[in-house]
Amino acid sequence: MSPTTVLGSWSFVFYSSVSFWIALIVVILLARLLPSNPRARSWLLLVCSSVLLLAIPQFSLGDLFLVWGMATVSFGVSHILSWPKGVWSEGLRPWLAAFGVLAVLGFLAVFKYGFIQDFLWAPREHASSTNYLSLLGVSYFSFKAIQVIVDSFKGSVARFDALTYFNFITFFPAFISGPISRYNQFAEQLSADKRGTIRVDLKLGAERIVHGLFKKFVLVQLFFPYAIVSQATPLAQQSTWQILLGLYAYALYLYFDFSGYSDMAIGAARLIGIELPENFNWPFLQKNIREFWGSWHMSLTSWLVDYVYWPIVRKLRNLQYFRVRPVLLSIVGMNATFVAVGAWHGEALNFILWGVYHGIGISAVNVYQRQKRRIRNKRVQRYFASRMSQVVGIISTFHFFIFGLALFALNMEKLRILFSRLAG
Amino acid sequence: MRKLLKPVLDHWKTISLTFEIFWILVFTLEAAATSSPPEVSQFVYTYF
Repeated sequence: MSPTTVLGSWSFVFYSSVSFWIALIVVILLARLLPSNPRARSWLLLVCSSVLLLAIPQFSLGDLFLVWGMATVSFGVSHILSWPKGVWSEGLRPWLAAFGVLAVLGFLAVFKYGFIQDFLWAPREHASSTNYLSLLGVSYFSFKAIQVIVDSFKGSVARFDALTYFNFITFFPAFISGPISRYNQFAEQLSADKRGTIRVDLKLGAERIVHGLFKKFVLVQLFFPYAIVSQATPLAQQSTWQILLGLYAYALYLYFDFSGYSDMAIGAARLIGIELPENFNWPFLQKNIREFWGSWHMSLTSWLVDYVYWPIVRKLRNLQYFRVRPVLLSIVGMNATFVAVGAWHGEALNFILWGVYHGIGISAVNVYQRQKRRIRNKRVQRYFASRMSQVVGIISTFHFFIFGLALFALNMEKLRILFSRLAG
Repeated sequence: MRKLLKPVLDHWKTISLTFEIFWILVFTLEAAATSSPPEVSQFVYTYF
């Protein structure tokens, strides 16, 4: 059933249509004025999130049922895992947690990768990206579900209930592309009495929305036409400088688009009374690629550190070989995490190469930082502490990211053309 | 110089918000006025 059947002709794109903003104002008024009781507010938000998601043109009632279905399974698993010790056999808990995580990953993989859809159903003729099934926001709510399953297994989830969980999964301001909030913080805010914070929430929320609108509707419009992905001239006919400028413009477009979206999501949530985590912190002013990743798509980076990097490192630390080689252990963990990030961006080889590229970059920074501390030469130490060294670091980091973007934005054929152009 | 910049720094938030709102309005009105307004690209991370 299409959203138009449910909502008449009412449909809109989040953060881009006037009707979305009108709907948001209605939700804010209802959430702020009607219920002073947190439970009623939670019900109201759940209903509003569901209705607003159905208004997205690419999101149908069937999609909403799929999201609820996945949320029901992950809630069931997390709920059993959060039972007190002794109720459920201790030996079975890891198996149940593994089942929950694999079920969510399987769900995510089906909607993300065309080759899995080809494997499950007959390969489509003339398959293209438009032939494959997709589900809006699937990565983001899947990551949230995995987070709750793992935290329930560890026993670190407080106040676990279905209403809060379904709100956490379907919370509309962050549904499309995050930021990926943490369950405990979200639950705490959903249940808090927000009457005393209205003034500051409205002020900060509105400011963030203005910043986001400025990035999306002004800066993105300025940079997008020059980005390497939107130029009509074939790569083979472009000069090296044109290609380089295209990559600069693409980096700025990507940053303003995604951070603009994040500003609007954070601002909209704040107006409702929910604080979402930050997603960006001046990434292009960071001095090395490790710091860069600590300030770009931060909610995903911290999720990856907690739910991919540390589990890998903890597992490998049990091996004697890695226990005595902590630097190598960190490098292996980092590279495995970035390969996973690359695979998450897409199934094509260029995304995996992009992951490997950043994994190697961060590993090199880790090794360099350790070696740097051992240098005793005062002149070199003075340089490391100087402003010049910081500027060099910022420029190098930006360019390291820019060249990585070529791997991210272009397919293998275009990459081959690009490298042959740059080489000669 | 610092004295000269003080009023700007004191009201930095108001100045930057006014600047941003002004340009949002300019771009929105321009898009509304042109017969073929520039298409706003979809958010990059929508389908990730």
